[in-house]
Amino acid sequence: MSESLPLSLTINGRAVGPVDVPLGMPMIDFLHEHLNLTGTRFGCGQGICHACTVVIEAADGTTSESRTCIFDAHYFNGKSIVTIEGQAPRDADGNVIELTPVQKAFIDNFAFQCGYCTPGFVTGATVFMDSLKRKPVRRADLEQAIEDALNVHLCRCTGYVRYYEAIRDLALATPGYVID
Amino acid sequence: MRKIILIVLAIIILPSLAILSGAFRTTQLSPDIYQPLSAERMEALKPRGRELTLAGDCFGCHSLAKGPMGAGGLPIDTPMGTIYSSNITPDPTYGIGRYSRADFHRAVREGINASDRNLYPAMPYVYTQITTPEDVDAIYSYIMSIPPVAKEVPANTGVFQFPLRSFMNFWTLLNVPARQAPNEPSRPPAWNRGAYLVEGLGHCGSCHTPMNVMMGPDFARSLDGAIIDGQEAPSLKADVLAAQGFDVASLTNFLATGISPQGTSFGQMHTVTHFSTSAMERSDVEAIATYLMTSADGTIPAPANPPDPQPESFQPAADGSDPGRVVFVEACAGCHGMTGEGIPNVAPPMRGNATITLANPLNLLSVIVNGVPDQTFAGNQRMYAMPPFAHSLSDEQIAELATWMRTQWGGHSEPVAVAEVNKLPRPVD
Repeated sequence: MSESLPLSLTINGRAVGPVDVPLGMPMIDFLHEHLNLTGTRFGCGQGICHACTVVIEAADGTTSESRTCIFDAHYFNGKSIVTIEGQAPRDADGNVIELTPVQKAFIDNFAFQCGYCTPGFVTGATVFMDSLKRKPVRRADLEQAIEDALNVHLCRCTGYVRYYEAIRDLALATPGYVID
Repeated sequence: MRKIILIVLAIIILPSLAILSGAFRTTQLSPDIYQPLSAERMEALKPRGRELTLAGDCFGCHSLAKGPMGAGGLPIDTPMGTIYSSNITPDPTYGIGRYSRADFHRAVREGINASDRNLYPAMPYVYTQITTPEDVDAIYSYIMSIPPVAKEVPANTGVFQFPLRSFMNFWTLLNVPARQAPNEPSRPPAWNRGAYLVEGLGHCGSCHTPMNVMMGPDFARSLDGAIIDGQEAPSLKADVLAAQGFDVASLTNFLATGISPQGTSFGQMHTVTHFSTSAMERSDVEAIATYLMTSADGTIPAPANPPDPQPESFQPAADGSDPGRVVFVEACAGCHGMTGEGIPNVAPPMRGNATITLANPLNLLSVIVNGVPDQTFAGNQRMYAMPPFAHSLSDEQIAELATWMRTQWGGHSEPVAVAEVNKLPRPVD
């Protein structure tokens, strides 16, 4: 499709655009080809594996995750998103200062093996932790809440156990996220 | 004065009391049913009973999703309160294990339980009453053979927690005509079998026939389509089905699988295709399709091709692009395809999709706003969940999207009003 439309959005805190982007270009292609943000993984291309998700930051401060393979770049027009490159804080030269708590927890728990699904899991777990900050869960409901939140993310190496344990440990170690 | 009181008593109160006590509920049941069935007879009737139980989708309402089969407890919400479906397993305490053959006949054919109390019409006895005594025996034989589940059903809420069952005698008097299965010797056996199942056990009209003010079926508009639980149960008239591209073969396939070129079953109809029609004998499903696809004059109308795209009926954007089409490409085309071709097992095609062709845009809007959960279909087929778009598209965008989809694939050129979107209930999250 040859028609293009102007696109403006915020990616990892920086304003992008307006730039002409073809209508019909999936967001993940825009990230990869136009912005060289190649950390977001293209998996099934059908919206099922959730390797391609990014964080959407709403105006009210809440977050959600969105797939980028099935949604057009223009679907994100005017939105603010965080890709895997924007998770860890960086210094002025762009070097990562430290990993986020979710990223550290995944490494501490040997949560991933090949790592292809990891950007999506970081996105999903980050949004889940953010939801706990606003609405803590009871300890008895924590495992189910983790499964409900991350169930859509597919991983073919580790069988999910270490991912879920990492998120559970982090939630328990973060004051106010889990109530009894 | 005393005379007036006596007259009032005679004219109003006494007949009312008579109705209340069930005096006008004459039984049509044969005295034979008080004779228990022999163990051999019940064993022999079980396979036939299983098929009829599936045709009635008894477990669709009398089980919780993923709960034990027949153990009841499914909440049925009404404006007056919630009724919980009963446990119909043969458990003697919580189920119907103590039901005699006659008790079961009275429940299915007259809407009266073993304690001689009226069932609420959530039990579709207005339909199941036409079931033949032999078939009721078969269902009884099968139900009495399923595993008993000792599980108590929650108490009804709202008005249904009060002792109102006697008042159902009034409702029944006004809403339950003595019905017979259509029997047309001039029509093929498949038509007659289909009529018996559709108008009886299948109780299709429970959703697809409009209700009167008493929430009883308006039989004058039988299977004309109705709004139920915020979605439209579309008309099942032969000409309407044919206009959507159905014929007997394709409607049979849809009922047997839940999947068709006209779309996949969703909402309440998914439980029907999932638990009932996909598990039934092919010949019975074909009979249902034959009955539904046959017009009043006995002919089966030819299936129509999908409608042609309509000229746009609203102002396109300044750059010439159509705002509804842009929303489709941005939000929908990733799964449903740039030309609406869909992806097998992920997203159904839009071209030829019956939901888009319905005159009322309610179902299309409801699906866009609320999404569709993951669904399984016959033969290990699956459809991936469709996300709700209530929070990521504005009501204006959804109205434009629906308008464009209907011009493109629905054969409708009139725009969908934003007000139609505004009034839809939203997903909770």
